[in-house]
Amino acid sequence: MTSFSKTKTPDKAVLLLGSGYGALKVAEDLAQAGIPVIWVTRAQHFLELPKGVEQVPEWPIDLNFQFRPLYLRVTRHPLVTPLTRARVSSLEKIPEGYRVVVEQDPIYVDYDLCTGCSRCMEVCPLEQQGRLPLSRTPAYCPSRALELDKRKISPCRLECPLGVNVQAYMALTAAGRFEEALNVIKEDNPLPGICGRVCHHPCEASCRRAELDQAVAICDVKRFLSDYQAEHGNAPEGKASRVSPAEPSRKERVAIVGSGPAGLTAAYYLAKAGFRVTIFEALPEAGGMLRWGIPAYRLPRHVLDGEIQDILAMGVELKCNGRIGQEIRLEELGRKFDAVFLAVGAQRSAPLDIPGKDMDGCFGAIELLRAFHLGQKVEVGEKVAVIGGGNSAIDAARTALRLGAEVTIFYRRERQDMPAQETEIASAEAEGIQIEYRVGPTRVLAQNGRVSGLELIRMELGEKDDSGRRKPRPIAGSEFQVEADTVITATGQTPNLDFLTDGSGVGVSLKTMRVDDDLKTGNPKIWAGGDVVSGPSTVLASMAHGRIAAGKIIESLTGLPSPFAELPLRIRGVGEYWTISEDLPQQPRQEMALRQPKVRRRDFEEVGLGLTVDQATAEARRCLQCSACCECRSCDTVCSDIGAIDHLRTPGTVEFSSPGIIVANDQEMPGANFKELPGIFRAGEFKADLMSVMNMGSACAGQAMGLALPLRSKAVPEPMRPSKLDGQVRLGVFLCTCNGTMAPSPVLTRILELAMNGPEVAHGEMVFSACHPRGSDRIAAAVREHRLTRVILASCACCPLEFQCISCNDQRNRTRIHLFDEHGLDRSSFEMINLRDYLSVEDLSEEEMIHRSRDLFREAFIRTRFLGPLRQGITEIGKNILILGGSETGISAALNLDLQGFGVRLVHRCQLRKSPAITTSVSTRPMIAGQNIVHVEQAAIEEISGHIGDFKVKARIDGKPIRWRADIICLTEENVLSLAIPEDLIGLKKFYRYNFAFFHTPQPGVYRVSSLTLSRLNAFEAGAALAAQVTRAAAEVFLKDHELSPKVDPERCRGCSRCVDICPFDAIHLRPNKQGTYTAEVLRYNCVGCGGCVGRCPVTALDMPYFSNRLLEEIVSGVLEGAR
Amino acid sequence: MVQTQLLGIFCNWSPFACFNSAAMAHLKIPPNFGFIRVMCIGRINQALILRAFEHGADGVILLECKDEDCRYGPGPEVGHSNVAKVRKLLHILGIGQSRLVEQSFGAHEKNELVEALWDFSEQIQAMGSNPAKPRQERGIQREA
Repeated sequence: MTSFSKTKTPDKAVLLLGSGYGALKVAEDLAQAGIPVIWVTRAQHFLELPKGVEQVPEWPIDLNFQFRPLYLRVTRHPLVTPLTRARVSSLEKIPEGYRVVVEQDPIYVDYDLCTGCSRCMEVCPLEQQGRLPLSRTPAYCPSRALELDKRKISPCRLECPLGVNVQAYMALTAAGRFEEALNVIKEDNPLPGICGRVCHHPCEASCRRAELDQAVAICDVKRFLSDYQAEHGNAPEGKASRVSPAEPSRKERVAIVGSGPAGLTAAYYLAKAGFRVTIFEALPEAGGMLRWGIPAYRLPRHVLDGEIQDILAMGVELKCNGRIGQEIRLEELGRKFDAVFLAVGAQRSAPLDIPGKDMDGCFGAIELLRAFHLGQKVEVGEKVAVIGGGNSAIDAARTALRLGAEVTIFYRRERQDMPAQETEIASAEAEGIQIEYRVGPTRVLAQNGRVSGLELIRMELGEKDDSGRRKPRPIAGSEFQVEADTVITATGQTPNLDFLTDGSGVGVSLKTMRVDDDLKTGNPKIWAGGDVVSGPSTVLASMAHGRIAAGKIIESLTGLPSPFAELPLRIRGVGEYWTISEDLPQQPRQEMALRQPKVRRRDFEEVGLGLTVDQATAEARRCLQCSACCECRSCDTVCSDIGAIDHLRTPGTVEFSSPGIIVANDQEMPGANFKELPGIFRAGEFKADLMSVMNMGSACAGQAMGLALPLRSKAVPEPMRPSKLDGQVRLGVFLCTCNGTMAPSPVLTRILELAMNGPEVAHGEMVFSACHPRGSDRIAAAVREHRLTRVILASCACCPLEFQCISCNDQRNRTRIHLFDEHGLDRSSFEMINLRDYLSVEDLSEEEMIHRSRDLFREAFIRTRFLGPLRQGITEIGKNILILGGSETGISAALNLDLQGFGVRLVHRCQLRKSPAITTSVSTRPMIAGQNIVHVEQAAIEEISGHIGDFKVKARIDGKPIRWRADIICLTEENVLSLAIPEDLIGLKKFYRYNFAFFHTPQPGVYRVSSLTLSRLNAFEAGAALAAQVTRAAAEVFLKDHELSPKVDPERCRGCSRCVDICPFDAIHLRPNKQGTYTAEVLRYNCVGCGGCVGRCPVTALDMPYFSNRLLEEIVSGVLEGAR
Repeated sequence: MVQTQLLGIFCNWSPFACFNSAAMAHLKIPPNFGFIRVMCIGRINQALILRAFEHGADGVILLECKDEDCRYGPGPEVGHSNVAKVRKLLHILGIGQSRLVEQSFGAHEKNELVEALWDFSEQIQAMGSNPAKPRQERGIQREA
């Protein structure tokens, strides 16, 4: 949760630490007293009950409901900045208090913007799997807003050199959304079909599913997606249109030398960024090692051609048969192009230095494979010996096998040490290739200059070397000989750097090119990457180089940062991965079908047949979705108007100074010795008694208020605009579509048409979301533009009133805050109808929806006819406080109030006429003189009259009559409590409880400390809490009348006094009239707007705004008429 | 048989919270109900209840908070006294006092609320139309 969007985080505020009900009370008291609060908690929400507390004594079962209004009031209060999932990272003592730095975890769904339309939930691919990372806020958080569970990014994605979002395409595949899944891959990897076959998939090695059973077959799923698209792609003209050709948007030209994985990848990203790219290739076709090194049974040529074609279709130019250093000169490229990327690879086999290596019949694996793939005649004879254990060795061996030879691979270590992929080794063995381990060649045997055999020596394995593998050592005297027609060496590759001239500026270290961290060579226009830099590595590593180089070239040419350069991926996000549930059954991974070894060794057709649709979805479902949200960004597309979701949100830092700190939950204290520091107030733990913790919250707030005095701001009364409800009616109708989820669009159109046919409608329009700031901007603009005097807003908000009831939620509340508090529209001129809940019933037909809307609008049209001004007046409140009772509580309250700049008159011993005895509980402590405290030793209180802001007290001191005036009165002693109106009226106890008004009396402006409160707090704390209530009341220097306060029709009132009897707030008095009888009169200061008197009146003499008699009668008749 | 027309008067607080959560839980509400909502049942005066019968309601139910739950204090008490008085009047008028009932709910009692609405609907349906309505509206055929 972030702060209310229009409120900037203040530089000075009281820090409130911890969640819970006590904290809520602290925040309420401080904010109402005009003091900014920054509320920081580690919890995800503010009101979770502590563990172990299931039932709160003395509190109804519907606890959550009761807190909703308070929660909404506090979290949307302009002076409260709530920060969830945040913690204090540093605290420093300064003269004004503390310098606080708070860090907040990233919140991916903006609480201030989310409208709760839940379209994101509908499109989330994880929905069907019961693992939805999106959820609604829990019941105790009255908002429809959604939350996104996203942890740190998954290991598979981190391990991928290209940072491909594996989790997302697994989720989309599991949901059967194959095209979207492929698009996710293509964002980071332009060659999915190729990688789905030849990638060494480090993602699978890191897969956490292996802890349960086996790693997910990520690579096979990727291959499936690519194949599925190639087969079912909906592009009519075939593959070429899979990628839309882009017209270059920039004039800079980039040359890429080499069309292998590095070159192709660089070309893809450069073209994507709008550059003009030319690839130079020495051989007749593009692909580099993919084409000339990898045999077709692993990588069918149609797949290779298809993906190269896709890249060329983006506007990349390919020039073949031009070798750098021969047909093309590097200097020339440097002149003609703005940047050059050298990705020439490592195209030479590293020579094996043994006697006889140059005999006829000795080949390097790379040279042999290239010659074969170029269509040259390759004779391998009957017996082939392959030396080496990498993929090239296996490729050469299996190619030789397919050419009809009997093949043996000789490797100097153990099988598990072989760099080749395990599946490759297994396939080779299945096809009948022998592999001899722990042997090394010593010399090539020859007859007549032609290879006739190979002499080898047995090895033993010694200490581990840098690669973590044990170093082979020859065993003396173990030499043996094998027959062979051909010896193929596959013991490494080196780049051909002959084309580099002295003036090129490109440095060389050992056998590779030297580059800096940005893959830049010594020449400022030349970058290099792939095997030519790293030595022989993997397809993926080369592609990563290609992408980084593209990113760096883009950055260099545009001067702007490029996202492509951000590799390898850094850990992002907060929170541990999903734990592997014990309920999750083991499920072996799906294996793709393979052609039989005896058949496949005859030809160069592909060996693996790929996963079927069912296999691929089943396999994708095995993904554990480690980081909860898979970041497929499907939700972004439906939230584009609202803009609440931001997957890349980073942790935030808030820095401010705080005069004092209130700790509502000790566990959130930043340090062990923290509680000893000055200016720290602890509200205590929530155990079982809700009242205690809330009372304690008030006490803390009261104590902190003294320190926070310089921060206090006065609430400025809103200007009383005259309501323009009497003149000509121009009615506006606004229909919230709730981001398209209110009803199907044709239904909404019909509803709007229907509404616009209503009487006096001058304007009507649809709003995409009424609770969104832009939605209310639109409404406010339209109201002004069309000079609307009355407005009907059909959304989920159900009334335009200022108070919140227990059904209210943040979205409804927000709509009203935006429209009335920020845009200053007239509350009285609005009617709001909750169309959303009316239409959200399941299985409503279109006709039923229209019918229901018609009903609702009919009622609304009736209401708009009878709209009247809501508020009547305001009352000024000053700073004179009278405290009756000099108990410890009274003294504490007086001192607290004195600190806060109030003028206090403290009457130490009070005598009442009815109870003359003075209690003995009066403090015997020495009197502490505050600056503004007037002490009165003893007085007999005779009468209190008036109202908040203007109480008049008649008293006697030593028999002499005296009169005091006070704005607020506090009763702090038992014997004066009877001055408050008796509390035996029905329901009043609950009234205080639900309003969390533990210090209130039925008379506004009179506060008291009851014995129940003193059983929970000590006298000092109770005094502070009392002071907090006084400050709260006085901070709003103008008390607003209740908006629903009723009026009496003197013509009808017959002075029966039923209304006076029913009112527990002393808000109705009877006054003598001219006729000699009595007429009721509403005391607007005291009225809470409950309407009890209106309902009780037997002659309908009382009436109130918004729920007026006339209106209700019309609605009753309308409702019944409509039903007929 | 003629479908009866019922009016439910909601207090904004507990009963409406029940209604809201019942709607969210997709509980089915009797279709022959019309509803109005006020901020407290104490605001409903006797005239308004009678007005409902005047406009042809076959039954009226006041949905209020429990006595001790009222956010303001006097609501349920006003409700009780008004219902008692209007029921007497309804009896005298020959409409029948059981056509007006009140029922109270806690904010979590959505099932109880929906059940009460159905029970009331069935009960009134069994009683037939409000006899104060014109004959044709009551569905009584003129004797031939």
